[in-house]
Amino acid sequence: MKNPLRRRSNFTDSKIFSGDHLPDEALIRLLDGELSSSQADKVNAHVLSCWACRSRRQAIEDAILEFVDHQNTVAAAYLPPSSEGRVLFLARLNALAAELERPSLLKRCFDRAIHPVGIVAKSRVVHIAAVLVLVAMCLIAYLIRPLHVVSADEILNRAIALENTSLQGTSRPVVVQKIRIRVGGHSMTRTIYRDMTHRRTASQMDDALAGRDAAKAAYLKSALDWDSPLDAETYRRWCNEHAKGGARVVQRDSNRITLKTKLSSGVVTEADLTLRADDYHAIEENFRFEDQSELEIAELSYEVVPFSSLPKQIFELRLASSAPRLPSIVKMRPMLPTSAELAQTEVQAETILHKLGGDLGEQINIAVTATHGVVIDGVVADDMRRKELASALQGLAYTTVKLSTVAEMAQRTASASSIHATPAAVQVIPAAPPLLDSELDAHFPDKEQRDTYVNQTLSMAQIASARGWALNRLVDRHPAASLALLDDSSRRELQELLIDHVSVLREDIGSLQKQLSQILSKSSDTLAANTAIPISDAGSTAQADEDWQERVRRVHSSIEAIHEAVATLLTSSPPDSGNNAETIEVNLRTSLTQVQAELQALDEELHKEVLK
Amino acid sequence: MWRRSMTGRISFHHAAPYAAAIADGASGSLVGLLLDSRTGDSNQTRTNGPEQSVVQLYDALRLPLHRYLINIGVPPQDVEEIVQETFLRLYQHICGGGKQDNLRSWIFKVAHNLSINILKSRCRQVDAGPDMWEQLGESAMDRAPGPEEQLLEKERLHSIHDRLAELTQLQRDCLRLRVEGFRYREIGEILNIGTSTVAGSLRNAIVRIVKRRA
Repeated sequence: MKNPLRRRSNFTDSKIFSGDHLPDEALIRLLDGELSSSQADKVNAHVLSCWACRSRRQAIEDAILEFVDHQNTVAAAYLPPSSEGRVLFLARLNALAAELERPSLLKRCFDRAIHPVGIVAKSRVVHIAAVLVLVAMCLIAYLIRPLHVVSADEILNRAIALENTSLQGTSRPVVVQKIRIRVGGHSMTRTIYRDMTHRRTASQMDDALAGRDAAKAAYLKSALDWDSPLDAETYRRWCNEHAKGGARVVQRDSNRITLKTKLSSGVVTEADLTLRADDYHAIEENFRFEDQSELEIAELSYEVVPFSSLPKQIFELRLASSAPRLPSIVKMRPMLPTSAELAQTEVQAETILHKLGGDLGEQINIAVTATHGVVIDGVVADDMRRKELASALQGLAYTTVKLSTVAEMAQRTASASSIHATPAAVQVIPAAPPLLDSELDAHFPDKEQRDTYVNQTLSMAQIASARGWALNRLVDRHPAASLALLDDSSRRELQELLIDHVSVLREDIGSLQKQLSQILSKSSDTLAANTAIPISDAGSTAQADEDWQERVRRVHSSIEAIHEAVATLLTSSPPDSGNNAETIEVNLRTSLTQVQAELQALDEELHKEVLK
Repeated sequence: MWRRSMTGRISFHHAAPYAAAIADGASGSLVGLLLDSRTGDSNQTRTNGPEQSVVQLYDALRLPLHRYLINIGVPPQDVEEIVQETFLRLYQHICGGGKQDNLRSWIFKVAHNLSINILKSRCRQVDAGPDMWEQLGESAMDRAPGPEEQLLEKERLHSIHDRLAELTQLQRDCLRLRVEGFRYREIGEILNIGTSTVAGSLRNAIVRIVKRRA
């Protein structure tokens, strides 16, 4: 049967078999039944085959045996006979049971008060009279009560006000408070630095590990604020959240006042805050738990110092301080994602956008900030496209999608321009015919065919340009430092994204090359233009060792040049722009050939090794 | 639970805490709480409800609790008081609707905390002093047959005591609770520390004892 108490710890297999022999902890856990069955089997098998470990196990067993005997021997002389004390206990238990079943104090007082009367006369009239007398006595007691009663709430108000006043004389005050925390026989000290101007806290703890663990456990149990012990405002807030009734004020002596709060439910049964009577400064806090254990917090020193007198790095250490994790029921501050998590999320977002074609020319930006996470914003064609993208990106953590439609942007622009803009004068610039006008006419006498060809070619160049731009953006978004943050899975995902872009781009460039060969002049079709410069000889020796990122940048730049050249050759250009068709054609052929070679090399590199 | 079997080997026995508590006791039978008429209250018999559970647990755990409290250094004259106070609080706990999933741990935890409070308020040394040790040595020797064996037994006890004195308070507490059969998680709950701290403390304590024995 499965043992309900057997909980598996973080004692992993790697810890068991870290060397040739078993560690002591493995043998001790084996004897204590604190290993999983598979771990126990492995350890037992090793012990059977290893004499050294077997003898160590025997030594541990002997030590335990001796210790158990010793404990029994020590206690044996003092163990009571079975009957001794039992009778007394039964009597005490009975008294307690009767006490718990007794009527309330008011009823008992009432019964006692009317008891003598009851002997004399048991009539109803006498009972009523007794009640009236009691009520009258209560009224009198109420009227003559001491008038100067200070409520706990008022004391807390004074404590908060006086603490604020004490800070006023210091520029950029920092409260340096040293406290001692005691719980379950353990003790630890903490020094807390509270920057009252910037509302930040830092703390240092002593090295008492057991005390620290016990203190943190007690804080967690009682849902206390780790950063604000001995604070009147925190105490009031805590009481408001956990206690139904108010606190009771008890004057412990002429110097100290204690506010006592009893709780009827929850793990804390009583919470006390002790303040100095002369300045209402909190000096002691005491929490009693359901299991009778106590958490005591006492102030050892308190001073308000200017910020300039402290080392600057004190508040930088805040992240290193080991504040306890709060239970889920406690309101938690939102956790900011790590840089690695953001980088991985960004890759996921890029993959999703790529699958939906959102990285090819649409005005969609991905920005990553430590405070806002991954923000995807931009302008898309219509609401349907926005919904498509938003629903695909919906499941991503730390991601905010802010997409607008073209219509919305137009509306905004219109409303903005209606306020500020003045109508711009339209300047008509006469356009010269395309540089390849005669070649186009020769190949496509039909105007419609010509237009179709030109539009198709321009579109192909534009698509290649968009893909080159997307590829280049991936490189810009993931420099070496960012790649180092990615885990293997995200790195593979990014690699697949890059490979996909490169392979499609190779097809795009090949198609464009074929398309343009119809119209480009034969004179530009030289051997030099159709021969790619070998990649390793492309320049200096440094280029031979270049990384894939540099190659992507060069591909992007070449594709941009190709796009520009195609547009210049096939569309109207301003007069006197100084373009020479023959030079552009040669450059275009050369760029296309070179880009193909670069893309092939890039494809091989990306397939060859993992991104780095 | 660490126990010595007939062959002298250590074996681990575990059962549900409540059942173990009952089986562990000197008198595990169901007993009603028959009050003595001399208490002057009543001849009331409580044969069911929380009283019965508390009495059963008292009978079952009284001796283990005595042994534990003596071993952690509570003066013998205070032990019975702490035990009774613990079980009276248990009664209040049950009547107040408190959790009853692991009452054995709860009892040891409360007894442990009460003993700490008592020792703290009386400013007593937690560990037993030399006088008590002499007395314990004598009590152990009484059962030994010959003077040579008596001397060996006395030396052995002193040797173990010296080794225990070298351990930290936390290590001693963990060992003593382990002797009482608590699992690492339960020890952690009783002492308000994490399970990994318990495992580490036990490992360090046992390794240290083994090395000193060698």
